[in-house]
Amino acid sequence: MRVNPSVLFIYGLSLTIMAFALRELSALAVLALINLTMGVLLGGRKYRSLLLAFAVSLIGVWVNALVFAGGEPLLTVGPLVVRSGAVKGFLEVSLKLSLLLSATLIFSSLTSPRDLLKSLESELGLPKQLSFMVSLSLRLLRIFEKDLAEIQLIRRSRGLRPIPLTPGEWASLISPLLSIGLERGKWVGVAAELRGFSLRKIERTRINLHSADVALLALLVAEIVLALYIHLNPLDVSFK
Amino acid sequence: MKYKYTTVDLALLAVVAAVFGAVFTLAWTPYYAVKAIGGKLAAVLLTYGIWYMAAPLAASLIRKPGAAFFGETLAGLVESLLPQVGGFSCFIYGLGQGIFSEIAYAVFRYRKYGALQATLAGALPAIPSLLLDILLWQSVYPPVVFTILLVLAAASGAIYGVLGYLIVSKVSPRR
Repeated sequence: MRVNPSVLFIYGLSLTIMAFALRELSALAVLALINLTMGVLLGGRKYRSLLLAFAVSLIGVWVNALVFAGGEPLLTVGPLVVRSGAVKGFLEVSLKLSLLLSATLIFSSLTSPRDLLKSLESELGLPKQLSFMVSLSLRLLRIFEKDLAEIQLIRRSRGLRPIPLTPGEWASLISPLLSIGLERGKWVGVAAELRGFSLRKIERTRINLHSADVALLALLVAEIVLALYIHLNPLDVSFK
Repeated sequence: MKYKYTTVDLALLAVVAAVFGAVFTLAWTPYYAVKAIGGKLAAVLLTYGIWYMAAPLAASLIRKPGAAFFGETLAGLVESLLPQVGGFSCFIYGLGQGIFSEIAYAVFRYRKYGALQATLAGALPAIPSLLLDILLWQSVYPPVVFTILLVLAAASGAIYGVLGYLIVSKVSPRR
């Protein structure tokens, strides 16, 4: 399925904003059901590790809800008291997190960051300076990940913790990484300038929407309308 | 005061974003490890500042208006474009944190890029970060917990902010 990357970005960002803004359980449940199903169907196989990490994070949410949330006791098992606030809190946060995950799964399985940048620059008029910085960061990221692994290896061989814990340890890890990076950055900048980056003109193209893009935008509008409707007419889901 | 960004400045901002893209990914491991052993409060104090560090570091390095904002926002954007559980929320967090970090330099009219400004630029992002946390987690944590988290996150940010400044002084003393 070919979907315009800018449309996917707008869709993913809108889902994320709704995850932050919505509090109605029923609205969150409907949106999460639609989008998580889409996300798992599209990218569930490719991003199994993300689904696993999500499942583990839900355990953390449940433990936090048990410890901190209040409300009427619903269930008592020895010293453990499950309160109504814990159940509601767990459901609400889990649904919000599943919306965030859905946005990633849908976006990542249908496009790539590079296609997104091209589309944002030519179709939506993103300044070339911004797209230069983002595309360069994405390209450098893989190199820095390798550098980071090397620094960790050296730390291990010196009997230090490979993953830093204290601020001082972080400083000793970031300093060499940044030191190499600045040299690279300086020369990449010089090279880009010599190749005429400042004079480069972006060819603007009209945004080209296919049927899949229109369907996704229509779904987004429907989801926003539904969320607003449920917000104004909340269903009675009581957790006293 | 120089306002115009050269191509080298843009490339250096990209470097900061890429370095922190890699660092942010690594930071989740100590965050969860400390959280499991010492609880959420200890984890916030010891690690939250790492996510606020890109702004003071970028500003100390570039020393131009907007550098803190772009450093933090770009790192958040890069993190959000990679497949991970938080998705686009990283971009929203980065944007909020970048704006608040920038305030630390704006109040000094972009004339000073020292340790004090870096400390403030590290501490201020705790405000938007916790506000966004409240939107996500308000049904789990009571307000008193958020107040404690805000203080701890700001303290952590201040520590890592000044650390960012010291790192730049060490690796790029002439800038």
